[in-house]
Amino acid sequence: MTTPIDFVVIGGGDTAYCAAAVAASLGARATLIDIDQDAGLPVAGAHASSGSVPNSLWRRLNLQNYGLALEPTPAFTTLLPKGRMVSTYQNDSQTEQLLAELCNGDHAYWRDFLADMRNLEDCSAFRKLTGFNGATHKPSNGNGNGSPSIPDSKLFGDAASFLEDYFSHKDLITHLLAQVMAQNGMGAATTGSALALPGFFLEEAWPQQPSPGGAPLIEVLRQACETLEVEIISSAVVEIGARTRKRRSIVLSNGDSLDASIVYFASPNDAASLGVAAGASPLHAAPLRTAQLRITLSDSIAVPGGEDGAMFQIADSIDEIQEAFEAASLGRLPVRLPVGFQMIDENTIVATTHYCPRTLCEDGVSREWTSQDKQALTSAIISRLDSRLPGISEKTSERQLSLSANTPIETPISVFDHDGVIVQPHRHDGIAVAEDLVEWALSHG
Amino acid sequence: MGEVQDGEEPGVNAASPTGGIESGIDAIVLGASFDGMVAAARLGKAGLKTILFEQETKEESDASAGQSITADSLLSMLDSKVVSELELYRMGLNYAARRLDSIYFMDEGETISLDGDFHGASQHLDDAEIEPFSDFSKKILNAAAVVALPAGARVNGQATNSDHDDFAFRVGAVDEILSATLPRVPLRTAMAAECVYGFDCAPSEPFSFGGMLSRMSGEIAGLPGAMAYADGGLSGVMQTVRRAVQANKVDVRRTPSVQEILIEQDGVAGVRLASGGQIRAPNVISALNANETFLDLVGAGQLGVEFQSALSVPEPRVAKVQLQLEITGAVTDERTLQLMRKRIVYAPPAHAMSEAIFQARRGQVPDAMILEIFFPDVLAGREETETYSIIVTAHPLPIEMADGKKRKAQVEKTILSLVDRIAPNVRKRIQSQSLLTADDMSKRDTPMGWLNAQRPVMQQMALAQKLKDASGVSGLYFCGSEVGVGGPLCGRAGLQAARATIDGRRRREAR
Repeated sequence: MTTPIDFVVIGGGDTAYCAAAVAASLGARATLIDIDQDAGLPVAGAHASSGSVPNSLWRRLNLQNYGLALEPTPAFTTLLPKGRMVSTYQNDSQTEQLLAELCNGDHAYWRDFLADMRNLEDCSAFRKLTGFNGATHKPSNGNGNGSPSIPDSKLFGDAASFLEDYFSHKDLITHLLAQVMAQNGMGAATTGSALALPGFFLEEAWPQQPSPGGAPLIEVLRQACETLEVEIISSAVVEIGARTRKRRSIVLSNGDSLDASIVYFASPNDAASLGVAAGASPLHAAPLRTAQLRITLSDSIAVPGGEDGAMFQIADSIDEIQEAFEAASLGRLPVRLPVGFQMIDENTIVATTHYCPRTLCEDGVSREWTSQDKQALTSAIISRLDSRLPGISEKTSERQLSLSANTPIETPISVFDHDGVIVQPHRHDGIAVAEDLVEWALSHG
Repeated sequence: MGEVQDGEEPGVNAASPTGGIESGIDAIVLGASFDGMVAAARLGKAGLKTILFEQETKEESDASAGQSITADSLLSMLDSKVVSELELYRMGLNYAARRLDSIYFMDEGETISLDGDFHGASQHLDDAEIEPFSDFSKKILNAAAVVALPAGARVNGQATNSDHDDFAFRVGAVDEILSATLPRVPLRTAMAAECVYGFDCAPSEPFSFGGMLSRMSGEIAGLPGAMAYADGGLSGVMQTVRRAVQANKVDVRRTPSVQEILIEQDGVAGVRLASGGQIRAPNVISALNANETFLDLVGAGQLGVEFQSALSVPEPRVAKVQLQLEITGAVTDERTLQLMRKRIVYAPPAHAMSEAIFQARRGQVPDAMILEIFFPDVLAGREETETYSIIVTAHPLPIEMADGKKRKAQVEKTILSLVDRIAPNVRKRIQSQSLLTADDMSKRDTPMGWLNAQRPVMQQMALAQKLKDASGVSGLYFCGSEVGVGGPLCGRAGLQAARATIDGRRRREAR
């Protein structure tokens, strides 16, 4: 069975649904192949969104019709040892104020730092590397000269020394590294890790979450897709065919096949795992995996700082982040595992760590994950949570571990091809990028 | 060194008396590195009245004082334009061995042989590997040619169909690219060693594949991506370029040393000497390192904020070391001799390479290292001898090896234990051994300074681009070690600096 389709989105999570809905709103015949649902993997953006939802998307998809109510994630908070903690907020002066109390003098550089990070969008090498010349979602600052004070050579260096150029307080640097690196699965001293920094600090990258009682964004986007008559197929993809007469065939695991003039990957991982076009270019850094542990609590638990909805990270030091990367990329479970978590509701915590080896390696011999390894990982995550949320292990009534099958780690870089395949780069402003890329693709396609 | 002595002593005092001002000079070259000498010789050839300062700091002379031996290396890139424009063959350049085959030794007793011509190197491989490897080598040589290292390095990673491979090669991780392109692990391991050797990158890290492009971006004896050994080794090539310097009437001086590059109205005016005197010249080409050139000699006050910031890139963390061995006992069996005519590489497993990089960055001596081994006597045709020298270069080591003998002993022990795996009989025949570290060779741009540390490839490329793009001072050109990426003695940066000088002069004259 071969059906002609114009625009096929492959992926899962809010960016994929966003891309499909935008394509349909622009008049394309859109199909979404939701591979996440099929694979039973952790769905990105299930709670906090991939970046903010731009007004243009809101209007385009009439999101208010679906009763969508979002509020910004209140803070990014890192829980350091001995009860110390650092937060950054969407409101710059709020962050500045906190830093002024916390770090001697560093607060004075916060706005400069943010301005530099945001200006890096215009920095030539950075834009070229992100492959984002044709469809920048962000209006250029005009001169296109980027941030004059940051040479390319530093962006190709490591994140820790990059941040040390701005700040001196170790807790602040650890916080920033934990928040950014943990989402990219890189080490603090890893070559090229500095490139992961700028995208995190874009205004569009600030995640949002449903207001109390509201539906998560992904649910609303799914409804929008249905309204716009996007066909949603839950299946794995077996093969992407070569391009003939400006079309490609997509073979699904259920035996069906589709025909697409544009194939849109919502994540470079998905493209890479199919060996397609830009995805085939190995832009994924380390051989790491992501683990997500969903914990149901028998009793509610107090979160330090009182901002229950914050994006939390647990980290001890700059070195710990580097050591975790090294251990995992050498096939060992890190001794001290950087763990992030978010409270979904009073009784549910989702903890995530990106520092799990793809395969385990003992004495130079690699092997697959066993159920014992997974148990060890579960205990490692829980004991790490326990170090900051005392008593959590006793209150855990149910735990469910999922380990991503593909490589979760990406350099924050991707390419898009002009050969009918578009690969969305991994970025923190995923929703905004999806909207712009689809619009660009359909106007240039 | 014999040839230069004439130029050294007499020239000095006569030409620049204390406190005096010398003029009528077209160009001053600082630093007698290979690139410095290439630049000076090329300027001399163009008819510019040129002075070459064999600038040496105290740190450097201390380092080289106790050093009677020098590092040696195979050559992978000697710019063909340098060879032709300076007529290096006429100056005595000769290859004792060219197009060296490589043999890779790996754990578990695996070996892989590759022909010296990277393009057609697959002939020794399994049937299943021939096609993927030939595809791989073709793509790499194409991409490496585009990269045009060292001085023209440009990060033009725009993702279009035409340069898609280039882009992936530049940003990709060694592990990922090799597992996507080559079917079997041993060949991947061998190629991973080529990527990592000499660079600060772990195979699992982004941008690590750039090392391969850099390694393949030159040509030697007319063959891209090949390896050769020159008569007299590195010193031999240095001598030929010294002859070119002399033949082109360059005035070579050592003292008094240059203290400052004089800038007047955003343009070079000459140099100030330790004696207090000045030499006035509209062009200065520096082959010294970037910090010394721009911060010490030019002065931060003369530089833009952006340029200064570019200079403050993190220092390199890893470097190579070289262990030179003398072994006794004639080798008569043809099989061993055949091996000794090759470039021998020990390639540890990829995860061990990653671990080694991580350890070296932390300042530890790694458990595993990549070794590159060659036999200069055999390559030079001296096969029937009673003693052979062996040059073993190891990577990666921490950049700081300064903490004494104990650590050196540890490094020697590790290297020898790895050599043992390849050639179990060598060890008991060792007559003498000496270890050369980047410290010994000095961290600066000495002619033999190629043991020097490298930064991560992309960082190095971006830095090179920045330095080459100029400091905003007209008449100031740069060809120090930072603009070279990859193997020793390329000369392209020196040649480009000289050409830029000549072009700039022509434009000024035209006005």
